[in-house]
Amino acid sequence: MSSLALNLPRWRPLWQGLSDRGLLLFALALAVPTLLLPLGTLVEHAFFDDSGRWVGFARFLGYLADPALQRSLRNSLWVSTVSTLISVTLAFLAAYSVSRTLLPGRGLLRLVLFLPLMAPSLMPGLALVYWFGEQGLAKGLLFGAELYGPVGIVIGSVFWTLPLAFLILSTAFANADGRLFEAARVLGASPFRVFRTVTLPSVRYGLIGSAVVVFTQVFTDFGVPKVIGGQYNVLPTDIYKQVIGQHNFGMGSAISLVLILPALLSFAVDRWSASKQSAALGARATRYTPPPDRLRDGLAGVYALLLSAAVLAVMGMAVYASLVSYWPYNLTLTLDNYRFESVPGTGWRAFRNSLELAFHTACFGTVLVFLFAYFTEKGRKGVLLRNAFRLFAMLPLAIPGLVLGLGYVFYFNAPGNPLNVLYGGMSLLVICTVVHFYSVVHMTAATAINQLDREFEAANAMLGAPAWRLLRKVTLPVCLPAILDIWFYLFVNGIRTVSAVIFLYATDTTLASVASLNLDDSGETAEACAMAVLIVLACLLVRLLHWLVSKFLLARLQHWRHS
Amino acid sequence: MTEPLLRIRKLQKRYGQAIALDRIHLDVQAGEFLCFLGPSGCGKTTLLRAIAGLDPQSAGSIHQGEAEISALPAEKRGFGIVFQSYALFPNLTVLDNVAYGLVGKLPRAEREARARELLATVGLEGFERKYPAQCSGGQQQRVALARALAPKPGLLLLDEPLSALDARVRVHLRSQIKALQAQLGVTTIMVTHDQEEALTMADRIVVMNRGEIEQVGTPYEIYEQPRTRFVADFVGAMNFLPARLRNASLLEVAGTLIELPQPASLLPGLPITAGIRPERVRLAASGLPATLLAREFLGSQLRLLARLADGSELQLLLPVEAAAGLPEVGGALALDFNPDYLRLFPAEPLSESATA
Repeated sequence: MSSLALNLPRWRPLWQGLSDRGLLLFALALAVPTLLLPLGTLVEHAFFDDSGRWVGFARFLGYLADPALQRSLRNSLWVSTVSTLISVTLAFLAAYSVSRTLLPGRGLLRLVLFLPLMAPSLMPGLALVYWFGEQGLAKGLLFGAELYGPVGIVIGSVFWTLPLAFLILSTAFANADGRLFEAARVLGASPFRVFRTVTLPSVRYGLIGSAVVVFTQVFTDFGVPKVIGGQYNVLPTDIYKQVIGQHNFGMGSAISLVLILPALLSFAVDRWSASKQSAALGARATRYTPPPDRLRDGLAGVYALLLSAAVLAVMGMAVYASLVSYWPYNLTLTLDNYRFESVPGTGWRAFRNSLELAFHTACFGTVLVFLFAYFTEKGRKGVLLRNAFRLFAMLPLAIPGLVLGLGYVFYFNAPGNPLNVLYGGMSLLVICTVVHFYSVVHMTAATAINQLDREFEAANAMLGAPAWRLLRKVTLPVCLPAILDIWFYLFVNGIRTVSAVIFLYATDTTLASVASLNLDDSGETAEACAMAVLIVLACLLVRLLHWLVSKFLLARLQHWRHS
Repeated sequence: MTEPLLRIRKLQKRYGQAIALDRIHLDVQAGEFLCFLGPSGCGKTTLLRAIAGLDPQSAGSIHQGEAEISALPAEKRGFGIVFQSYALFPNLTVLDNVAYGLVGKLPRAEREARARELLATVGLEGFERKYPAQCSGGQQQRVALARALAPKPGLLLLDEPLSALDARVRVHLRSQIKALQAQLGVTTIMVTHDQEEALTMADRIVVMNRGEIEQVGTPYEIYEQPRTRFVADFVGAMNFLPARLRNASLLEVAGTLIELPQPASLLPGLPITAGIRPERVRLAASGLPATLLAREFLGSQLRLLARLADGSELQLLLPVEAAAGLPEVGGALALDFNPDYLRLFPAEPLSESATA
C-alpha cells in the first residue's frame, strides 16, 4: 500500500512534481527546433538534391574534384595551422609573463590582451588595411609581401584568437602545483630543466586545448578572410559565396559539413584533455610564487610592452581610421563617418538592433542557461534526461556559427514550417545567438552550481522551507558572480557575432557587425571601422558596468567570501 | 513498553538491481539516542535518508505514531538533520542560518530570539554576525546543530556529524551533543562508523552490515553479547580461535577442553569459531599453553601477542603491572579466561548467528 502511495505523491502541488523531469523535458523539447532540426535539415540538403532525391556523397565527391574548392580547403588548413602556431606561441609567452614572473604591472597586459575580445573579428582586418594595405602607413614592414591573402588572414586571426589562447593558458599556469617547483629546486635542477620537466608538462593540456580552440576558430572564421582575404579563398568564404552568391544551397551544406570536422575533432580533444586535467591537480596542491629573477622579469617586460603595443596599434588604428576624413589624403579628424550616410537609414539602426540583440540574448540566455544547468546538475530524477541534455548543451560547441546559421536558414525558411514566421525577425536572431554560445555559458553555470554543497537542497527541505526560498536566499546570491559573467559573455558575443547571423537578418533587423562587413564590401572602409568601433565602445561600456556591479553590489552580497 | 515514536517495517531500498537496504525492522523510542553503526557502504546513511524522506524507500513502511509517513516528502516530516558536510549556507550569517527554518513560521523578532537562544545553548554566543567561513569546524558543526534544532524537530538526524573534525574536538563535542540531547529530550538518530562514538553516546546501537541490521541493543549488550561474528569483530577487538564442540557443553580449543557454563546451540563435531575479548584473557599458573610472540607498551595497558599450541594467535590486554612476571619474547605462557565470556560462532563468518 505504501509503495503505491509513493508513486502517487498526490498532496504535492503539480509544479513541484513537474520541476525535475518536466523542466528537463521542456529544455530538451526546446533543443529540437533550435538545434537538432536545423542541423538535420542541413545534413539533408547535403545528401539530397533539390527535388528530394538521394544523391549520397555525390556533392562531396564533386567538391573534392573541383580544383578551386580543393584549393580553398588547402588554404584553410594552411592559414589555420600557421595562425595556431603563432597565436599559441605568443599566448604562451604572455601567460608565462603574467603567471610566472614578478613583472610589475603584469595585470595591465592581461587587460590589454582582453581588448580583442570586445571587437568583432573583422576589426583587425580593417585596421590591417590601414597599416599594411596599398595606402598603408607601414606598408614597408611587409617587405613587399601582399597583405590581402594569407598574410593578412594570419595576422588578423592571430590578433583575435590571442585572448582565447591566453585565457586557456593562463588558467593552466595558475593551476600548476607549486610544490613541484619547490621539489625541483631542492633537488638542484637548473631553471631550464625546471621549465622542461615541470613547467611544460604542467601546462601541456592547456597547450593542447588552446591549440585546438584556436585552430577551430580560425578554420571556421568568416570575418577576417572576408575583409582581408582578397582572392585567397577559404572554406567559410566559399560557403558564403555558394549560398549568397550562387544560391547553391546543396554545395553550401556539403562544405558546412566539412567545416564541422575539425570542430568535432577539437571538441573530442577538448573533452579528453578536460578529463585528464581534473586528475592532474590534487586537493593538496599549493600556489606557486616565483622567486625574483631580474633577467627573466626584464625579458618579460620587453615582451609585454611589444605585445601590448601591437594589440593597441591594431585597435587604435581602427579608431583613428574611423575618425579620419579621407584616408590618406585628408587626415583631419571628423565624426562624419559615424553618420553612415553612404547607406542611409541602416547605420545607427543597425547598431540599435545589435544592442537589442545583445541585450535580449544576455537576459534571456542567462535565465535559461542557469535554470537548465541547475536542473541538469541538481535534479535527482531522470538521470537519462539529464545526460541527454548535457550532451545537447555541449553540441553547439562543435558547430561553427556559419553552419548553425545555414541550418537555421534551411529549417526556418522552409515554406511548410509554421515556425517560419520567425524568419528574418529579431526573436530568431536571439534564439540563434543563444544556441550558438550556449555551451560555454552552460559549463560556467554548471561549474558554479556544482561548487555549492550537494546537501543544500536536502537541508532546505529538512528545514521545511520551499524550494524557491533556497534559490532566492542562497543559490542565486552565491552564484551571482558566475551569473554576471554569463550575462556579460552573452552580451559581448551577441553584439560582435557575424557568422551565425549573416544569413538570418532582414532589412529591418540588420546588425552592426553585418553592416560593418557590408560597408567594407562596398568600399566604405572608414564607416566600417566606425561601426566596429561602436561595437567595441558598447562592449567596453558594458564591461565597465559589469565591473562596477561586481565591485559594489557584490561587495555587499559577497563579503562572506573574503572574510 | 510505550508506543514507539517511529515504526519501520520491511523497509527495502533498491538502486536498479543493487539492494542497498533490506528487511529493515526497527522501532525508535521517544527520547532515546539511537546510533546506526557499521562500515562504509553498509546502508546506514541510506536508512537515515529514507527516514528523513530525502531518498524514499523502494518498499516497506515508516509510521510516526499512528500516521504513516512513508510517502511524506522531507519538508513535511518536521525532522531536523545535520549533514556530514554541515551544508551551512555560506552567504548567510550564523544567526540567519539558525533562523532559516523559522522563516514563515515565526515573526522576525521571535525568530531571532529563538535563534539566539539556540546559539547560547550550543555555546556560541557572540557568533551571530559571523559567517560560516569565519567559524572553525567544531563551531560550524554546532551552528548546524542549532539550525537543525531551531524548528523543534520531532526527530533529530545526525549523519556522521563528527567525522570531519579532528580527534580532540570530536571527543569534546561527543559529550556536548549527548548532554544537549538529554537536556532537550529530543529523539535522536546518529549515523557513525566509529564504534567508540556509538558506544559512548548511544542509548541503543543498531549495528548494520550489507544493507541489513545485524543486531540492536544497548552498548553493553552489543559489546558483551555480540550476536554475530561481524558484530563481535566490528565493535571492539576480539580474538577468533578455531574450535570444536565435543558435545553441547564441552569445547575444544587448541587441544584444551573447556567446560561451557551453558549448553551451546551449535552442532557438535563441526569446526566453529570461539571469540574472546583481549581484556578477558588472563595470565595464569596453568591453562592454555602459549608462546609469547610480542609485547607492546600502550601507556595505560600492556598488549601481548601469543601463539597457541595449534598455531592460532591471540591478543591480550593486561594491566601494566603484569609486565613484572612476563617471560622474554619466545618464552612460555599459560593463558586462562572465564568461559562466560566466550562467544561461539559458526565457522562460516557471515551465516546466521548463534550464541553459547
